[in-house]
Amino acid sequence: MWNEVQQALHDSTTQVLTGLARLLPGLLALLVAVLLSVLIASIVGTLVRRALLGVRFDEKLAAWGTLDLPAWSQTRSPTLLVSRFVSWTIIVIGALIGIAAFDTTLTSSLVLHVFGSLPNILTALLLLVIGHFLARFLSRGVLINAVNMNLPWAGLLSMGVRWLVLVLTTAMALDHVGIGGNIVSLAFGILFGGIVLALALAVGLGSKDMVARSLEKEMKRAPEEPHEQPFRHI
Amino acid sequence: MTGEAAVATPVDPAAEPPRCDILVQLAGCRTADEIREGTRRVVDGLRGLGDDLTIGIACGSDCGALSVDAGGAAIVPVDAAPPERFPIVGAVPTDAYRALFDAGRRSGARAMALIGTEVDQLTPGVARALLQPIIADDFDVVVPVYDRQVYDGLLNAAIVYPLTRALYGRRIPGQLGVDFGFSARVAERLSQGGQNPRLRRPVWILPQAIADDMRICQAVLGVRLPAPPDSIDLATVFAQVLGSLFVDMEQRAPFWQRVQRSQAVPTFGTAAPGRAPAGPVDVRPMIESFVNAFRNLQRVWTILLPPATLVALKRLTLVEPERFRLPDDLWARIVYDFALGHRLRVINRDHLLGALVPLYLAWVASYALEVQGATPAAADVRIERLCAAFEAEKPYLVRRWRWPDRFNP
Repeated sequence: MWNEVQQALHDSTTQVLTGLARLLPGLLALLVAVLLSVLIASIVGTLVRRALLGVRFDEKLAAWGTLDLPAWSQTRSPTLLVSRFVSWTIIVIGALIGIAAFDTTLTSSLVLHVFGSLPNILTALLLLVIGHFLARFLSRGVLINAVNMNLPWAGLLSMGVRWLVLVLTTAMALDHVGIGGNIVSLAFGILFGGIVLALALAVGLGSKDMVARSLEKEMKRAPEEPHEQPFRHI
Repeated sequence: MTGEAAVATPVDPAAEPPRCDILVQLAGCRTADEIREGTRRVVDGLRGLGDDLTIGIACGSDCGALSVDAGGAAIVPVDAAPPERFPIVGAVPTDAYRALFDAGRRSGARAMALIGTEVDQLTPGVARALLQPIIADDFDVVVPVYDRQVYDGLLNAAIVYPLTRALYGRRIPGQLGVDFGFSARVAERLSQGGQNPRLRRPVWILPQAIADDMRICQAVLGVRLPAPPDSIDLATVFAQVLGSLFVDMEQRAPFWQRVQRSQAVPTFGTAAPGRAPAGPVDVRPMIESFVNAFRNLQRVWTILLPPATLVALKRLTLVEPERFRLPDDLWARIVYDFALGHRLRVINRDHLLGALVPLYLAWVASYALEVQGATPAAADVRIERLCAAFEAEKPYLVRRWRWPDRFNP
């Protein structure tokens, strides 16, 4: 009896050690692949950054005028953006190659799955990034225009626009990667409608007195000659 | 100049324009009656400049079909859009200034004038004042001097004139006028826009003329600058006028960084005596707009303005409306900081110019409180003080332009 137990323990220990021994080269390969890809990414990233700086990529992009990236993102230059994108792409590819080195059905299917859903994930990330910049751009534009129209609730309006865009793009991104299913659409509808309703209520309640005063003034005002505005700006 | 009146014959716009010594574009005259009356006044005004001068009158591309009594002048159909309220040569062929320069060059004109004053104000003296310095005294650019009232041309008084004077070193307040005279040299320099890479972007004529060392003078026209359209939107005006001015400034940085002091240019004619003093105005809406902007635009202004300026603006929001004054040196630094922000594209350029509007309104309120009850002459003295502040603060601009990343308290 004891011998059989001992034999079973020995067999399972051997199996674990054999499995571990089989896994080690794969792990080593993954580590080497990741390290190599980081090294290559940093070299290629530096080369790309230097090349773009050499050809004055930022200034040329600004001179073309159509793509106003620095204005959209004040802390990142287009050169930095491109070089970092190249570096991270190399690192991700290196990691995937390392995972494939395990050479098992599980890792192969994982790699296939990752590669299969990679376009969706990248698109969702792109949507989030675009949404972030768009929200900032639009909210700032709304804020400045509302201030120039002397609206007292300019800040509120700007914040509403910002959150509308962020909620919209987040819902689109989640929908794209298939997370949440109908719950996302439902939650988005509720949130979006809630924000619009909140804005409408805030603006409506805030302007109630102003509209009343304006109407009252309009009704009381006797017909008069339009007086000339003394200020001529140009 | 032929003294007899003649009925102009229709001319094909595509054909070579007739040879003439003086080409006048009547941009302020649109209907046949206005063109006819405008032509008569221009020809009257130019009578006596020279016996053998021939005159061309440039008007819209369809004016060749009009039967206009040109009073001895030839009608030159020019396909031009109405001129902007600032002298800038655009890249499009129908740009009013470029169309005039092209037509002037092709017709061999020695002098050209773009007259934007409408026919109800146009006098023979306007055409004569714009063209005589070119024909008789060999000047290249004649800039108008209008009968200015205290609250006229405020954007020019607040930013355009002090800024261009400090940058380029010439005292020319009439840059946002609509009537100018040009020599053949200017036309030769600026007509080939399509082939000149510098003209792919806005080129303000006067800075270009100063950089080219052309001879510039002013002429008193004796008329008031036409009123802008009622539907004017300040943010749009800022985007058009200041946007192009800041772009132009960026391109001429090596030139204006060397200019140190300003000098007056010759002026022909005597300005009319000052009109009635300016009455009191209600500036509270403008101050309220500024205070509202200070509450809401903090995070935008923080990107553009240094902390010391923001502190000074905060103090300004706390004073009584009657004591509301925006110091000249502070205003000059604000304009310079916005020009630098425009160059560095720290935020979208339209947003940047929109964020300047409430600050400009604060300046207008401060100016109005200072000059209420003053004559136009006294207001001019006030503007002169502002220009001096812009010149005194120019080293600040040069320093920040060269080293924008340095600490700026």
